[in-house]
Amino acid sequence: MAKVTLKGLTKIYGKNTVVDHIELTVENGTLVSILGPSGCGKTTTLRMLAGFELPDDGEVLFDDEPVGNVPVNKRGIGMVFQSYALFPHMTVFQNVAYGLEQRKIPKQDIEPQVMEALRTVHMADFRDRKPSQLSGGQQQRVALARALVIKPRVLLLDESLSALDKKLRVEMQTELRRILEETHVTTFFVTHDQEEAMTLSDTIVVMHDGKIEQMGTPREVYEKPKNRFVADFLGKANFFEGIVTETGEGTVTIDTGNEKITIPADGAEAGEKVLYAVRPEKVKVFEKSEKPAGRTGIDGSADRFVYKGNITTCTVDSGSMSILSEMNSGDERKDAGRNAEVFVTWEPEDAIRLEE
Amino acid sequence: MNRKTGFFGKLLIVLVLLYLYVPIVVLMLLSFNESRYNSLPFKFTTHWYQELAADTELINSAKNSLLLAFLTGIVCMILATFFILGQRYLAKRTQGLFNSIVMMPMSIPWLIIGLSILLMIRFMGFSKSMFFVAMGHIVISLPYSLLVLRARVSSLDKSLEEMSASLGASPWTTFRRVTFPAIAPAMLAGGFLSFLISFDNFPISYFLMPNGIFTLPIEIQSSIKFGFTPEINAISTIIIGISLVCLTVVGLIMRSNLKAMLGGKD
Repeated sequence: MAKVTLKGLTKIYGKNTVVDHIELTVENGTLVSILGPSGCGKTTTLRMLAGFELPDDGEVLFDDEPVGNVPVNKRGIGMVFQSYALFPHMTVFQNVAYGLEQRKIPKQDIEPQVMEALRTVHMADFRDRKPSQLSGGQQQRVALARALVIKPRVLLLDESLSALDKKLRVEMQTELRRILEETHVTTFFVTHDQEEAMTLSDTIVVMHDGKIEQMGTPREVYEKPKNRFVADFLGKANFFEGIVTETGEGTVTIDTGNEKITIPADGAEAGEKVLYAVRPEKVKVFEKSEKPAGRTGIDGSADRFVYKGNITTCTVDSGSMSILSEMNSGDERKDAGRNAEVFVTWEPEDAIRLEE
Repeated sequence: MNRKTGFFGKLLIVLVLLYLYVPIVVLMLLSFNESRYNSLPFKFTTHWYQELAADTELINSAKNSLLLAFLTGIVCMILATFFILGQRYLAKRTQGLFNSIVMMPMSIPWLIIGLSILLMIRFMGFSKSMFFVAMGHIVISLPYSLLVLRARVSSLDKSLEEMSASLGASPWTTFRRVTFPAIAPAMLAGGFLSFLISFDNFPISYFLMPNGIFTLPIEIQSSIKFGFTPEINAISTIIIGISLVCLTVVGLIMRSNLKAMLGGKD
C-alpha cells in the first residue's frame, strides 16, 4: 500500500518513444485505470512500474522513495497478467503459497494465509486442483489471490479481465472492486476497454502515443473530455469544428469551411477556432412537424431508427455531416420511420468545448 | 481421395517401412544364427553373445563409446540450457547471429569438422587425446540438444518467470521452481539425442582418437575389414536394444511429466 509517483517516465525502443515523459501521482489506496488503444504505451508503463523494464529517463517512486535500483523480486508488487500465468505444475494452493514461501514465512503460517486469500476469491474448495482443471474465471481468481496474499504495496493488473467472456467479465469487475475495497491496495489497471475502466476505477488515465491525454474521475473524463482523442476514445461523440462567425444566446455559428452552421453551444467568441463535442445521448431528435419553436438545431433526414434494447440509435444526415443520436428506448417511441425529415438539437451546456 | 490412391498410398508406406526396417530385423535375427557366414538354414544359438562377452577389445571400445557419449550428452544438455535461456535476453539480431553460429556444425560434413579439428590440434602442437575427441563430439552434438530445447523454450510463457519474480523469487529460485520443471523433459530428451549422436559418431572419432584407443563404431569398422562375424550382429543388436529402451524411457518421462503438469485430466 503505497503512494506511487511517476516522474518524467520515458521508454524508448529504437526510434520509437513508447512512453514519453509521464508525470503521475497516485494516492495510497486508489484504483487507477490506464486506458488507451493498443500501442499507446500503457503496458510498457505498467512493466516499468513492476520493474520488468528499465526506464530510459525519469523514475518511479513508491512512497517518495525511488525504486529504480530495486529489482522486481524486491519491489513488493502483486501482478496479474492477461494470461494469468499460473504455474501449471503447481496446485492452486501451491500457486498462492509461492509468494509467501519467498518471503520466508514459517510453514505453519502459510496455510491459514493462503486459505484466507482463497476464501476471499471464493476458491477455497479448489485448493488441490491444477490450473488446467479450472475455468478462465476461476484461474483469474486464483491469480488475483496469489497477487494479493503477499500484501503487495502496489497491485498491477495487465488486461486481466479481457480474456474472459462478457458476462463473466462483468461479474469479475464487481468482485474485483469489492476485493480491492476490502484490501485497500493501490492498484494500477491497464485496459483498452473503456467500459471496464469506468466501472472499476477511482481515476482514469487516458494514454495516447506514449503521453497522458487526460486524467480524472470517470465522470470528469467522460463529461469533460479535454480533446478530440479522449472524447472519441471514451464513448462516442459528434464533433463540430470551425471558425466562430457569430454568437448568440446559447448559440454559436461556426464556419466549418464548407458551410455555416448554428448549433446550441456556449463559451466561444467570434473569430475563435473551436471544436465542440456532443455526446450522442444528449442529442434529441424531433420530427419536423414537432419541431419546438425558437430552438436552434440542425435539420436533416434520419436514415433509420435502430433498436438496440436499452437504447435506440439513429444517424441524422444534414447534407454535409452526420449526427449520431442515442435515445433511451424506454422513452416514448421515437421511430419516425425511414428517411424521415427530422430536427436535432441539444442543450448549449451539452456541447463540450475541446482543446484542439 | 478415391480408394485406389488410398491403397497405393498405404502400399508405399509399407514399402518404405520394409526398406527401413527389414535389414535391421535380419541383422538381429542373424545374431542368433549358428552359421559363422550368416548363411541359412536358421539355427538358434546364443553362441555369438558368449563370444562377445569374452571379446575384451570390443567391450573396451564399447565402454569408451559409452563414456564419451555420456559426457557429451551431459555437457550438451547443460550448454544448450544455458544458451537457450540466455539468448532470450539478447537483441533479436544478435540472437539470430548466435543461433547460426552454434547450429553451423549441422550443415558442415563431420568429416571436415574432424579433419579441421585435427589440423588445429597439430598446428597448436598438441597431440591427439580423448579431450579433443570429446570436444569434437560436443561441437557436432550440441545443435541437436539446442533444437529440442528451443522448441520447448519458445513455447514457454515468459510471463511465468516474470510472475515468479514479481512474487519475490530470486532468479535462481525462479529457475529451480518454475523454468526447470517446465523444460526438464526437453533437457533430458535433448541430452539423450546428443548422447546418441556421439555414440554413433565415426568420422570425428576416427580423426581424433589417440592411437590404440577405439570407440565402438571404429572397432566395428575395423573388424569388418577382417571379415564380418556374427559377433558384430550381436553387438549391433545390443546397441539397438539399448537405444530402444532409452527412447522408451525418455518418451515415458516426457509424457508423464506433461501429464503431471497439466494435472492429469484423465
